[in-house]
Amino acid sequence: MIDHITSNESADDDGPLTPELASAIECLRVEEPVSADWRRSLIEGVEAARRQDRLQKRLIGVAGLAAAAAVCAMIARPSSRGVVSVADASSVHFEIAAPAARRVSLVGDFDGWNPAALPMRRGANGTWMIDVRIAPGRHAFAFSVDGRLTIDPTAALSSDDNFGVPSSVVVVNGAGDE
Amino acid sequence: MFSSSTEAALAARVPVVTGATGAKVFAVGMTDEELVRLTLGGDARAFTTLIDRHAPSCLRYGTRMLGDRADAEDVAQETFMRVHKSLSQYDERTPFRTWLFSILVNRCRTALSQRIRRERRVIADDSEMMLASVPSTAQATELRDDVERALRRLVAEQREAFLLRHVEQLDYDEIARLTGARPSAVRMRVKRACDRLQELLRDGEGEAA
Repeated sequence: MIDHITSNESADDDGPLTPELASAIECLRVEEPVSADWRRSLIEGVEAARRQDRLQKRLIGVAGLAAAAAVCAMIARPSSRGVVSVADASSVHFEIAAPAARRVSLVGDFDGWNPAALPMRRGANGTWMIDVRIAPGRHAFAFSVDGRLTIDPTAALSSDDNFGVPSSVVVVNGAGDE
Repeated sequence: MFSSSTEAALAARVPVVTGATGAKVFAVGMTDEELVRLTLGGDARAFTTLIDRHAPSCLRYGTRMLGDRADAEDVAQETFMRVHKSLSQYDERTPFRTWLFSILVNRCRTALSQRIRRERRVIADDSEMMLASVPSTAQATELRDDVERALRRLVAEQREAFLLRHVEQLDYDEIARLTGARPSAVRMRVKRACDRLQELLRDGEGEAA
């Protein structure tokens, strides 16, 4: 749409335009037609870029999973991170980063959710840890950080059927369960 | 993609009409900012609508600024590709069109500097001028050719400011923001461009020799 310009126009403090200039501007305001080929080529380019972007995100996701798997492989001992295999007398290693906390303990169905039963020790970098022997099976657990229940942010599983108490899940496979 | 409820809501409030090039587009009722959000949500049609909405003025600016339709098409295409790539960085406090033009203006500046580097390419060829023109009556085409020739005699920064102000109708603050110049400098450029154009048109110096 072309706005008609008069020689008296003075929008936004522009001075009055001469008739010649007003006609010139009106002429320049005619929109350029869009060719169907140009439009199609542009839309195809955009679509190709979208596909490439999606592919890159997938590759990053796969790379992330691979990196996570590598980290898990580096943690040789059983940990609270998801499903672990424990061969008979081994214990499960739990840890949580809570540099500002004064008291942290492990609670779960294996200790009757008693915050005093399994106090965790503080490492040099503010990570709290404990190794606990747990019977094979599926166990709900959480950390009591200065009296507040906190789930394990790295655990692969969480429990939603624990009467509203936030908890993570660790599955301990006994020898021969695999 | 939309959920079915989103589809229904959009269908209810956004009439779908056939665009000039025959494609189905969202036509009415959606702001640019809503279309950006839909695009970021994965709806390719929303970005196509943004293209259909803004391509004519982008091509107009590019053609007037560069003096060549083919160059303008290249620049407009690069601009839309860059916009699409950077869409997640778009800040809705700036009107979408202003953001789009900030990218377009930069692409045009780059194209002009590249052109200067590889040897100035002055378009004085009337047949090429016709390609850049909208089919119209002979008289209107002649007037437009004269105006475009006069326009090309302006220095680039004056031409840029003049086109953004008087053809694209952006306000001075927007032009200052997207060109990086002070508003007072933009005003001065526009004024000088107007004075020079009036002089050229009055004296018939925009006409081909």
